[in-house]
Amino acid sequence: MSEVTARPDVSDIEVEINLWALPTTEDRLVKRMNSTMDEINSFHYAMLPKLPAIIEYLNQFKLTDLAGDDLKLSRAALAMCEVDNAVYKWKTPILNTGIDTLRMVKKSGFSDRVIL
Amino acid sequence: MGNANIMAIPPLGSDELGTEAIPSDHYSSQAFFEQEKEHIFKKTWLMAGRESDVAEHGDFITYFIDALETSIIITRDQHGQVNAFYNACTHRGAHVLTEPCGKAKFMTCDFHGWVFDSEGKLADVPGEELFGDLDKSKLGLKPVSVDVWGGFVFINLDPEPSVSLKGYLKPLNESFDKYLGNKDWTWSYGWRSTFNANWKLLVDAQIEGYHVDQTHRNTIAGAIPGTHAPSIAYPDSIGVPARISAYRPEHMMGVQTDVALLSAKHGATSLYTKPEKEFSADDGEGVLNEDHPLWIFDAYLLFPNVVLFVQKGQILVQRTLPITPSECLWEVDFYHTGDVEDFGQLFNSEQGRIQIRDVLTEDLYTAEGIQMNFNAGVIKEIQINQQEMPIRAYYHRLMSAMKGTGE
Repeated sequence: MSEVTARPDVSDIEVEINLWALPTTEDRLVKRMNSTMDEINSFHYAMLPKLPAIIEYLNQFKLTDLAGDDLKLSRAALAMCEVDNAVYKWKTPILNTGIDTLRMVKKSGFSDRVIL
Repeated sequence: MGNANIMAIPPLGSDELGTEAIPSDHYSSQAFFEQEKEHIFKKTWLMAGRESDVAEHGDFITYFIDALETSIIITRDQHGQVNAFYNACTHRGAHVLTEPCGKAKFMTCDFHGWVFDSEGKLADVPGEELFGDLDKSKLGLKPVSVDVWGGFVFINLDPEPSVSLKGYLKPLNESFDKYLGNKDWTWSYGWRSTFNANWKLLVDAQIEGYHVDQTHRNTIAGAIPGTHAPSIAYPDSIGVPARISAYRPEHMMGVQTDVALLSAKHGATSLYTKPEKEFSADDGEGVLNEDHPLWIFDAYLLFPNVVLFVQKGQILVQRTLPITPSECLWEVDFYHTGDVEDFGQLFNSEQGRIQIRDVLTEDLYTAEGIQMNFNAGVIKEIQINQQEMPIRAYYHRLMSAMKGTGE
């Protein structure tokens, strides 16, 4: 039987978690696009040292069982995926060698196109 | 390792593809576009849906070809057969179905309530006596040629296609059919957009490796160098003009971030980070190039409008459809196996999804500017090098299709 992983102490970065724990990928995309690099870096470097422990902790549960503060923590962890390229590759909140990402509309299935 | 052989690209002029510049007017000419509608979109096999979306009797999907203003219904009937019909009520011509997908063992036209079954037969007409001696047996939905391969439903508006779907897709053999058709694949996510660009420009953007180092300098250039994207032509194929592959470099270049490395511990859905977790793919023998430790994916051009990326643990399908010579619909869809059940898998999925999304924004960035230059007549021909050979193979297939034989 595997050991239970304790919840990492994130009390010192609660402000950042609250700012970035948005429900959907699209919400987090818009948040990144509307943030300054200082804001993005502040979030990223606050979360980064704790991220392996956060993933390990959250990974113990079924996704459907995540709720409350753990659900919030999971959303902030996913926001790390959203800001990764901005921090390390672009050094700017928005990629300036691509189309506006918001032009790519999320689909709901392979055949989901309403014509009329 | 034999990398030199694997990375080799065909010399200019091989496969009788020639070396000359390619004219640009087939991206901008209204007259050419009208011929494409007749000789390509009314004559070739088009990927219209996924068979699992019509898994049971009564399931339906619809498929719309903008340039032809043609809507197609695809159904599963009570005999387990997949059928396709024009979405046109035989009473006064209304669309019978207006939803993209759903379940209806009997399809009722919203206009006057004519009812068709999943075999397309006219089953009921309200106030039938008002028509006098109406022969319902002759008023079923107009059928469309349909077949299934690799779990995908293809339609062909030619009532008698000159070649079967299986023959059309050679050299992709039964192994591909089985691997891609594996019922474990489930749709994960996708995006759609419209662009002020010819539909073929967005195909071109995905079938050559020459662009990678520059176009993707802010994302994946170090993970897939342009020199690690060899391609081959299939000059004898009707529906698969060429393939391009992608391999990692011997020594990863570019930035491997902590987030990417954490993601790799939990899955295989990121194209650009070697997964630590093994993925077992059934029926992949001969499909996946797993013997090569650096292989990432093969991308097959399915004429006329699909680029099918096949890799371990992921299928990526890009489809484009013409609207006008200078406007198109673009869609990508991703399939994975297994449900995302824990957070590690979700993190991996999210990281992979965002990386490919950002890469696609770069792929899509140049098309509208190119279209402007073609429309303006500033650029009348384009230059194609060895690494861009699949574009030449695509052009040759396009021109042969324009003869109107479907082959």
